[in-house]
Formats: sequence, C-alpha cells, structure tokens
Amino acid sequence: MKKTNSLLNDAWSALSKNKAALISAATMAAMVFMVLLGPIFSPYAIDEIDWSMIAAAPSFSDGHIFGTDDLGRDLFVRTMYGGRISLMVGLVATLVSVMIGVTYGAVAGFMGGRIDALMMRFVDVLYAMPFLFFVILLMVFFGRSIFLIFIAIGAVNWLDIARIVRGQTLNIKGKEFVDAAKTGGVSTIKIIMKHIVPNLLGVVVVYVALTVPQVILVESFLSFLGLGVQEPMTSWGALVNQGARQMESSPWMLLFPAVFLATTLFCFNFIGDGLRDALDPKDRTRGND
Amino acid sequence: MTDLLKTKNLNVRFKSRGESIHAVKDLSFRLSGDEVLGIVGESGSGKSQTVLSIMGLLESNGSASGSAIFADKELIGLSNSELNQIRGNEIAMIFQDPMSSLNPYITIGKQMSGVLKRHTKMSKHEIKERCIEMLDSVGISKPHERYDGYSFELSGGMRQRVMIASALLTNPKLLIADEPTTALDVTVQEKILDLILDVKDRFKKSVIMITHDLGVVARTCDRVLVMKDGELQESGDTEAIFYSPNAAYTKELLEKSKEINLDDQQKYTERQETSIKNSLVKSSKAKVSFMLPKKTLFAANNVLTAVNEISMEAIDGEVLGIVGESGSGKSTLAKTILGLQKLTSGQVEVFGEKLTEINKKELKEIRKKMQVVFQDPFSSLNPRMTVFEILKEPLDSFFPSMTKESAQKDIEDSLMEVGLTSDYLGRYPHELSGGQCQRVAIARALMPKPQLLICDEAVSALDASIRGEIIDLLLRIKSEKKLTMIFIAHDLAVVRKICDRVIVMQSGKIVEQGPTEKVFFEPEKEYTANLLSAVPVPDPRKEKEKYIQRTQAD
Amino acid sequence: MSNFRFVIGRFLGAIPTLLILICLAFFLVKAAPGGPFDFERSLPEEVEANLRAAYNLDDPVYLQLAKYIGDLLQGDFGPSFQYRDYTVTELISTGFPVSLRLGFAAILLALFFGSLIGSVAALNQNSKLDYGVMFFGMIGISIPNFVMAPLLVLFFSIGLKALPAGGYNGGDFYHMILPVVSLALPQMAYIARLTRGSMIEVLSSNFVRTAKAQGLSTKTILFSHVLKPTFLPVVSYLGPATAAIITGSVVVEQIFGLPGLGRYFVQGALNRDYTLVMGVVVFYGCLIILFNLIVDTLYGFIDPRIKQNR
Repeated sequence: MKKTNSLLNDAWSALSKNKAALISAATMAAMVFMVLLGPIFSPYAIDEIDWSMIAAAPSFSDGHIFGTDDLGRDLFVRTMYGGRISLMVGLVATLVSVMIGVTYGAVAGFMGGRIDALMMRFVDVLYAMPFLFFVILLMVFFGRSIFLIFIAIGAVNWLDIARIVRGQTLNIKGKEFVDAAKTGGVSTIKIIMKHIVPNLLGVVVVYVALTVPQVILVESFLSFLGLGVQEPMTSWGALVNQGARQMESSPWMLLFPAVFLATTLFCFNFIGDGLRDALDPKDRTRGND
Repeated sequence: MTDLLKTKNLNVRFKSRGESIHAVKDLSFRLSGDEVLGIVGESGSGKSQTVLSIMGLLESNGSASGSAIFADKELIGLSNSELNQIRGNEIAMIFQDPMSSLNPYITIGKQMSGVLKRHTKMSKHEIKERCIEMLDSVGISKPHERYDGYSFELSGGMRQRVMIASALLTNPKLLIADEPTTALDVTVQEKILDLILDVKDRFKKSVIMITHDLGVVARTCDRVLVMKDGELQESGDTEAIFYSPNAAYTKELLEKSKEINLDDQQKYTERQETSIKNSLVKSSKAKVSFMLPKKTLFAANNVLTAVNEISMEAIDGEVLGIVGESGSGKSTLAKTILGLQKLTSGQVEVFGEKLTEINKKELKEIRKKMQVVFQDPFSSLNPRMTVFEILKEPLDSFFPSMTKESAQKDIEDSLMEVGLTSDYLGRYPHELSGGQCQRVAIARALMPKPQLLICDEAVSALDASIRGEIIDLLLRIKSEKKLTMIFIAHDLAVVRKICDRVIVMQSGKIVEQGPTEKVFFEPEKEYTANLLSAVPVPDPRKEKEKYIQRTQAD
Repeated sequence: MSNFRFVIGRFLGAIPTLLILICLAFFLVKAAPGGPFDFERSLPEEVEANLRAAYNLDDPVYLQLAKYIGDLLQGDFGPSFQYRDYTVTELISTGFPVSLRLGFAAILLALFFGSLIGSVAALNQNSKLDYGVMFFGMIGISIPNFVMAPLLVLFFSIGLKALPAGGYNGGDFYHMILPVVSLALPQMAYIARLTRGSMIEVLSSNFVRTAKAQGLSTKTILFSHVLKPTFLPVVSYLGPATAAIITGSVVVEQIFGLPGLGRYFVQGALNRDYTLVMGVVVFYGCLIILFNLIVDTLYGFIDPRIKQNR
C-alpha cells in the first residue's frame, strides 16, 4: 500500500491554484535563502564600522549595496542579520504558541463538560488582558533577553489556536467515524492519535501560517520601542526605528528594513489566507455521485 | 381558461470555470389560471432552475433565454426593477429550507410588512392588520405575539407557515413552492401540503409545486411535468402520468417509487414468522437524559429525556425497525445499545451482558459481535485514512494476532462483498461517491464478522436510486450472513420493505410495536395511523381519497 | 427589567477579570528582580520612604494587595519614580486626554471607511474594484503602524512638505492628520476585509433570496435585511480593535512626539519607572476590559438570538 500524505496533497493542490499564495511562498523561500546566505557574500561584518562611509547612500561600487547607517555599518548585512532574528522569532515563538495552544485546546475539547467549560472560561479571561503590555512589563522587569522574547510572545499568542483547536476537536469528536472507531474496538489513545490529531493538522497548519506574521509583528514592535533585541544584534523592528530617526537625511536606512519587514508580513498573510481558504473544514467540498 | 404562464423554448445556462452548463433545455409548458402544476425530477434535473429563471433569481453566473409569458407579459429579459413589480406582488415563492429562508435578525412582522410596503399603498396600521390576518389564516396561533417575534422561536413547520403567509400578503396570482416540505417531518409535511391546497382553493390561485417526491405530486398536483437533465420527459394530467406513463424515464421513476410502496399489500405478506429464539438485545426501562445548558446561573437544571424508560428486545435473526420522527429518541437508543451513550437509569442487555455492569474489555468483546453503519456516508469515514486503513482498523483491534496476508485477504474479500474492487483500497473517502462511502462503511462493519448490525438511518442521506442499491446490498448480506439487524429510520417505506418487526417511537417513548404487517396495516395507536397515512404515496386516486377523508374529518 | 439584569450581569461577570489583571500586574512587579521593592538599589531616602508608605511594604503580601486595590479604587496609582514631583495618577490624567483624542479619531476613521470600503467591495464581488480593495487591504494589514508612520512622514512631510512631521500643537487638526491616519490604516484594512467577507456571506444567504423573491428593491434589501447581520462581526471586532489601537498609539505617539499616555509608558519602560509602567498597564487593562464589556453588551442588544438566551 503506498501511503500518500493526503494533508500535504490537499495543501499543495489548494496553494497551487492560488496565485497570490504561490508567489508569496516563492518570495518567502527567496527571502529565507537571502537572509541565510546573503551575509556570506558581503565583505562586511555586522558590527564592522566603516569610518569613511558614515551614512553613505546605496552603491554597488563600494560593496554597500543598501548603503550604510549613521555609524558607518553596512546596512545590507544588518538587514540580513535582522531578518534572521525576525524570522527565527517568528518560527520559534510560533512553535511555542502552537504547542501550548494545540495541547490546551485538544485537552479541553476532548475532555468536554465541566473541565472544558472551566478551561475555556480561563481563556476568555486571558483574552481580555492587554497582553502586549504584559510582554513589555516582562521585558522591563526581567531584562531584555532574546529567549524571554521567544517565550513571552509565544506564551501570549496561543489563545487563538487553543480556541480553534478546541472547537475543531469537539467537532471531530462528534463525527460518526469516531463512534464507528469506538464500535470497532479502537482504544481511546488510538482514537486520539489516529482519528482526532490527523484531522486537526489542517487547522493547525493554517494557524501556524497566520501566527507567524503576528509574532514577527510583536517582536518588531518591541524592538522598535527599544525593548526587544539589543545591540550588537538587531532585528527589522530595531532597524526601522533607527531608520525612522535618520529618514530626512538618509531615507534608505528606513526603506530597506521597512520593505523587508512589510514584504514578509504580506507574504505570510497571503499564504495563511490561501491555506485557510483551502483547508478550512468549513469550506470543504466533496465529490458527489 | 387562458394561460397564466406560458414558456417557450426556455433555456438556462451557467458558466462555471470556463465551462458552460446547460441546466434547462428548450422547456415549453403552460399553466392555466386555477391549477396545481407539479415539476418533478431528481437532483440536477433543472426543476428549480426553471422557476428561478422565470423569477429572475438565477445566480449571477446563470443566464436565461427563450420566452416566459406571465399574464401577457414577457418575463425573460426584464430589468430588475421591472421584475420587482411582479415578484412578491403577482408571483410569490416559498423555499425548501424555512430555517434559513427567513431572516433571523429582524422580526417576523418587519419581514412581512416589508412586502406590503413595497407593493401597496396601505397605511402602517392596515399593513399590520393584514399581516396578522394572514398569519391567523395559515394557522399560526397567537399571531399578535408572533408578529413581534423572531423566526428562530418557531418550529420548522411554523416557519414554513410564516413563509406561506408572507407569500399570500399581496394576493398573488401564482404561488411557486420549491420543495416546500423536504426539510420537514412527514406529519408536518402533511399539514403544510394541506395548507397549500387549502390556500389555493380559498384564494383561487395557481400553484407550481417543485418536488422530487412522486407521493407529493400525487397528493397535490393537477398536472405534472417530468424533467431529467434539464429536459422535459413527459407532461400531462397527474392521473394520466401515474396510471399510463409514456416516457421510459417516468416509468422508471414510478417503478422505483412503487418498489418501496407502503400500500403494496400482497408483496411482502409471506414474510417468515421468526420462531421465538433468544434475544440479542434486551432493554428494560432504559432511560437516557441530557442536561441542557442553563440559561442563567441560578436557573433550575434543564433536563431533556431522549429515551424514556424503553423496554424492547431484538431477536436473533430478525430485522427490527425503529421508526420515529426527529426528536423521537431513536438514534439515542441505538447509541445506548452500542455502548456509546451512558444509561441514566434502567438496563440494557446485549448478548446476555448487562451494559452497566461490564468493564471495557467485556464491552470490546460484545462490540466484536455488534457493529454499526451510520447515516452520513462522508462523516462516518475518517477523511485522513485510506479505504485500506479504514477496513484494517477493526481487524487490528479485534484480531491483533492476525497475519498481514490473511488481513489483506479479508479486506479484499469484504470489499468484494459490498460490490467494490480492490482498486479502491488506496483511495481516500473524498475520492468516493456517497454510495461508495456507504459501501465501505458496511464493509468495515462486516470486518469482525458480527452477528448484529445496527443501521442508524443508513440510507437516509442517499439519492433515491442509490438508496435502492444499498438496501438490496444490506438485505443480501443479511440473508447470506444470517445477521440480526436493527434498522433505524424515519422513512416508513424503507422500514416497510425490509423489517420483520417494527417499533414506533415518539418523544422518547414506544408508541407501538409488533410485526411489520400488523403495525402497518392494522395500527392500534392513532399516532401510528396518522404517521402512516401522512406519507404521500405515488397514487393520485388514493391520495385524493385520503385528502377528502382528512378535510371532512376536520 | 430583564435588560437591566442582563447589563448588571455582564458587569458583574467582568469583575473577576479585572481582579486577575490587577493581581497579575501586582505579583509581576513583586517578582521582578531589581524591582521597586528591592532596596538593594540605592534610592534616595525620601523615595524609599514614599514607597514604603505607598506600598505598605511592612504588611503581609495579601494586605499589601488589598490596600493596593483599595488605592486603585480611589484612583490612586502611587508616586512615579522618574517624575519625582508627580503621582502616576497625575501623569495618566495629563497623558490620557491626548491619547483618547488620537485613539477615538483613529477608531472612528477606521470604522467608517473600513465598513464603507468593505461594503462597496462586497457589492461588487469579483470585480476589479473588489480585487483592488482586497489587495490594498492585505497591504494595510501587513504594514505595521510603526513602519507606516515614518513612511507617511517621509512622503507627506519631508517629500511634499504638506503636513507637519510631528508635535502636538494643542491637538491642531493638521498635526493630528498623520498620527490618526497611520494609527487607523491597519484597522481600517482589517475592518474592510471583515466587512467584505461578512457581507458576501449574508448576500448569498437564503433569506436574501427570499427578499429578492418578494420583489424588494436592492436598497431595501440592503438596509433592512443585509446591514445588521453584516455588521455583527464588525461590532464584535470593536473590542480587539480598541486593544490594537491602544497598543498602536504607543508607537505612534513616540514617532510623532505626542505627549500622550503611550509616550509616558515607553519612557517609563525604558527608564524602569515601575510604578508608572504598572499604573499604565492596569489603567489600559481596565479600559480594554470595560470596552469589551460595552461591546459585548451592545452585541447582546443587537443580535436577537442572544437576547433570546438571556
């Protein structure tokens, strides 16, 4: 028996029909490639100061293709390094929030009854909290470490996923194939692993794609305020902040990181939207006789 | 009498992803001023699109050509504002799903008065009076309260009455009913159909009745159009069509619907009486209640008793039917027998074991002998598993020591048994049709070689032609494997065809039980009798008799 | 009567949420290393004395919390670290009117144009106009306000020299245009997309088909059947939208140099002004909870099905 992965097939066939999502995915692939490999091809290091080139405009002749910042550091290399941080935060913090969210939501949905009601009431309460402010509080009180950023952002972004996963679990639990599996003598563990979890993957994939841009946004927001990633490291948010201060004299300092950040968010939103249209169980259409 | 509506070469086409679909092909028919015209056909026959094109209500990717003359006015090609002079004013329409066809966000009164505001110059006070008068005349009790209420506070039948009342407000010449009772229970259907006939007589209207159910046609229509794949197959007086059909398709439709016909006495009378053997399932005073969510924190517990002290048994070798309308508790009873639903009180014994006293392991042993086929063919198969994985799962859990080869052979055999080939093993459910899915579900149920098969509305979601095939399949398997079957259904004709014994349920209680012939032809309880006579049969003369009886009884 | 009870019930339901918010902030500050209650840091004596008095540090923790809540109820957020001569309450009351003005204008702008654009797109579904709105909507959602704001300044102030690049100037109209617009744009884009999706769903519903079959004019159908269900999701988005606007105002005030509460907050955060930061978080938290509550209650009055269940 050849085992075709139906989920990946579904996702692929849906995305391949959605031009915007396809272009976005290609752009993101190029972006990741560039961020990882770009600095290797540049003669400059991230904190290398070129005293002869303070706030120089972009030019190919001297190798500063994005120009330099007000301290004479190469903006291309800084933008690439900033991208690494931004994308990594996006990935790691999303993983954190997905893990918490899926576990929490699946447990609530599967247990049902009072436990479910209690767990969801708790989520409702957390929803009302001004979370970004709490993340800032955390940053202020516990120092501005990058790991704390990962955890803090991930820990506050799981609420949506928990809600969605819980709803989906409840839905799947009520499906007739679960009852049929029970009648087929299948154990509870196996029902969860073989019947419930695989059917959750679709929504989880969608929400991963939609959470990544949110998380990147939060990180760059913090860094913009100077509460996120600290020197000598940098991120797109921090670069936008520095650029905004110098935009009158050297607008490239603002434009390059801004374009990279916006493009990334834009692409992820499109991919997420495309996936949702394709995988959202609500819209699933099926063959007829 | 002159024609009220006359179509000539009416065509409807849809554009979808570059493809053109020809939904209605050169349809010509006429409707006189005081008759009920039925348009009958299976799904995809173009019967609904025909009237939607006349009303100018096609989806934006559809277009109509040809001619439809209503009261000397050509409708095809009219602008939206011209059509709006006619729609709701001279032609009114009611739809299939009364649940979603009324706006849940505004009051019934506001929805109804909107029609009069649009088409008449009545004063506010007159409008309200007229609306309440119409609500009253379609049998809505407390019309003043309902006027200020919302549609979601009403039952399905009541909503359809509201739809009819709003359709009648402007005293239109033509009333179009698109599958008006398909979503309703059969006793409610009877009342709504009677109401439509009554309204037609009282207000002197023409009616177009669109339906897939020949019984509904026989009950309500003076003339019929039979459609298939967008083409007219045959048209004529109802009696002529039913008693001397010409077109092959009409004959086929009639044959199919008569095959499972409630009135076909002689065909099934020689069913063998099951000599009393041991009972496989036996419930005594079984009761299942659910707590409903409280409306406020301090409200009293709201309890719904779905199964109320039911005592019944299923005897070895028989096909036991459990029938009832929605909310009768028949599916909950099935789930209880399967051990999927806990008993609130009472006892259910399955294969001699008391369900409340056994542990998980013993329950598994029982389930090996007892399997189930559910209603919805799509949701009863895990969309992420292939047919092979679906069929292998019960083998893995019941016979963990089975070798790969014999499992493979078992799976292929059972697939063959349900009429599928091993080509299907690698497929996912969404690659199968509804009928094929149901075959896989039956194959899965047969994997552990059970003695008892519970079918919970197993054929209700299928199209009429496929329904017949699946019923035949179930009957063949039943006799080949000497299975005992519990067959749960709301469709009385199906139950009549395959069951030896029947239990009739209503609101969680047993109304009546006994051998099928006895219950169907000499029902003891009035509820059963009403339920049976409410089912429209494809026999216009008989339906006419029934109608006269009903209207005289009132 | 039942309306009154419904509203009261909703308000009582929010109290635990408020308490959790306050406790969370309180214990976070208590747990912070080098926090305000950590006197290893050298503080001027008068400040330390003030703090001891203000936070009742000699009492057991639960009493401290109780007294803190008691002070909050009287509108007393304690003294500021950084602005020695001011209490946090005074800072909030100078900064908040500026932020309120900014946020209120932004949310009105976002709501009005967002719903308008979304509706127009939905009514012209799959037209070029619709695709254009969807595309620019996505751009609007994807460009954060701290990127949008400098870009707008670059274009309108530095490039065209048409609008001032910053400053409050007493809330002068021209000075407020760029801050309000950059704060409103992402929300406007989101509301437009939300409205579009919702209206398309409503337009394809069966009850709209019924209304068409009744010969009602497009205008009547739109106003009496479509608008209410279309805007229900928009109403329930108002809660999160307010939270997003408040968060956004923090950066926008920073960029345009507006003397609002968000700016105090960032300054406080950068300078570790614990009391100020905590005060602002609690204040904004209460505001968001209160606003959610209002939206929730409003929703209950608009949607008859919820009214039914109360």
